[in-house]
Amino acid sequence: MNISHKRIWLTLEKILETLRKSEQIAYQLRSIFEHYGYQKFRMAKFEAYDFYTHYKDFLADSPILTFTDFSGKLMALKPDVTMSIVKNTRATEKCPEKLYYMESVYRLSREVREFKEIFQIGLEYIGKVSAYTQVEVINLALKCLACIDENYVLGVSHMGFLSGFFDAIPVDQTEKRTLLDCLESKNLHELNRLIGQYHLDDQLGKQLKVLAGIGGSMETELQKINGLILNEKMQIAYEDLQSLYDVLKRNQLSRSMRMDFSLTTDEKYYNGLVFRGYVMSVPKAILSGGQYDNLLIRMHKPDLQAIGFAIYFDEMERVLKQPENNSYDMVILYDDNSDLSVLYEEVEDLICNGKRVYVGETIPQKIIGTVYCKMERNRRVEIQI
Amino acid sequence: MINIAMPKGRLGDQVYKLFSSIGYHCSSMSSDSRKLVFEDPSSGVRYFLIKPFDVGIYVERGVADVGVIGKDVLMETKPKVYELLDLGFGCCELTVSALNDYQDDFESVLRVATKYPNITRQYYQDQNREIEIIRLNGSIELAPILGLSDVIVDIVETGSTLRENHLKICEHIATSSARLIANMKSFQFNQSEIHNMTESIIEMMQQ
Repeated sequence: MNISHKRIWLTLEKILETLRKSEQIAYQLRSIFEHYGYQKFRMAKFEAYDFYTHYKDFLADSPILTFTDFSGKLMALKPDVTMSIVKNTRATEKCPEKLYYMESVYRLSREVREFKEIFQIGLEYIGKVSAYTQVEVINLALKCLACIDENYVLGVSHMGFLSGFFDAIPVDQTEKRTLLDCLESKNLHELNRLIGQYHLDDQLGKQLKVLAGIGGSMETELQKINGLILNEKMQIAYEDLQSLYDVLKRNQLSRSMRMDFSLTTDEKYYNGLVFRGYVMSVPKAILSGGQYDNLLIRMHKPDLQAIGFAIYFDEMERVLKQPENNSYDMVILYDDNSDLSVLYEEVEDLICNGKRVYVGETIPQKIIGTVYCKMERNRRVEIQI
Repeated sequence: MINIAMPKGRLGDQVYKLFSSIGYHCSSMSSDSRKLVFEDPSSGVRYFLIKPFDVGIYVERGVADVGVIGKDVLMETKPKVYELLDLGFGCCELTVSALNDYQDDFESVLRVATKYPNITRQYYQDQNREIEIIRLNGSIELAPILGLSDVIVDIVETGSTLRENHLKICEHIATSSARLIANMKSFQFNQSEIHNMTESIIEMMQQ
């Protein structure tokens, strides 16, 4: 019997069955990005260390894993993907780039104080960020979360709104940082104390407390923040948020959006919308993103704007842990007397019919079969184990 | 079911009393038991008894939805959590203390014994003072008595332990009290329950 080459391959359905949950998610996200016109960005694993020394302040004090290459040049294992994409972008205002990546980054773990390889899938839009671009990116962030877990929340904030608010408050940079820390940790009692310590007037103090308490549905919170607007910067940011929600509310996905000003992030990097995604099954945020025109300005591309997000698989992997699949439809034992050609054909036939088959001279303890067989010369005989 | 991380010991007893009074009663809870997990399905609550220094880790990693932790431990371990309420009890001062007759020599490296290395490092960094941190896990007061360190950084409640060991407070670093913290993800998904919990605690505190 000749084995037809057409029968060698498993069906796509069977292949998908064998993927781990995290791999299935990765391919789902990839498919979503491709359908929305985003193209895969490939990059080398290493970047010259020198590159990061110029933009160290964007790396949140994280040390970088380095090595010396053959020419004596100091190289780094990438701690960040976005900076490399921005460095290499060919986008112009009129011709934007829509990219996604599936890459590992190497960062110091805050908890264990060791370097960790973190797999990320991310998306970047570089060009001119229009209102529709914001809708598209937030929509994709919501879809990604929905792929991972049916219970999800996307917190949305706006750095323009926060920055406008703090422009109107008579505090210095250190005091501003302390107040932002309180917003980040939803620490109203400390905020109360600081309002007194910094001698903020009653009205501003009240408004600051309202801002710290924002954390509900877009619909209700948009009304609340409308009453906080103090200047043009805040007005523009409010309109951004309002128009974003006006479009997205047509989709049920948007019910999981929350406005949340505890998302203050880094002003050096982000300037517009910022967002963070949670799913019920994972204890930490798994998606983080925003509009980061400030990075483009620093990287000498002031005519461009950019928005994007990344999904971190390290936290997800811990939850999506799957036990090794040691169950087989058939376990076949063979010995020196077995006809190997018949055994080979039998195994190929079973596998092409979608069966999982384990073949061996002995059966390791962990292997479990639905049916056990033995190859007696050129005949497969069912046995009891 | 809401999972609450409680510090073991005296502070834990106060915390349970508070939570029990706002509806999170747990009939199986007993301070004599060596059990570490107590659950009451009728109240929809599960308590974990945890070493005070570990409460932040359990909450940050989402094993517990909320927890109670001293501000001193919060400042030291800096878990990524929401700090929702100052509960107003478990109050103490984080201080620098030394033997009654100790006189500082500003030209020498200061040896500091503490179980708060991060707070200590930051405090002396702000003063541009070179120090050597001696990390201890308990009975910190012993260190200057036996000459292991020049000073200690530790919490002081009434000051009686210091007095009995002939130590004095030299500097005040921070004031601490028990804080209600929440896991960031749990907060997003249980907003109304956690909000009701904080509102009830505020009401209780005002009575």
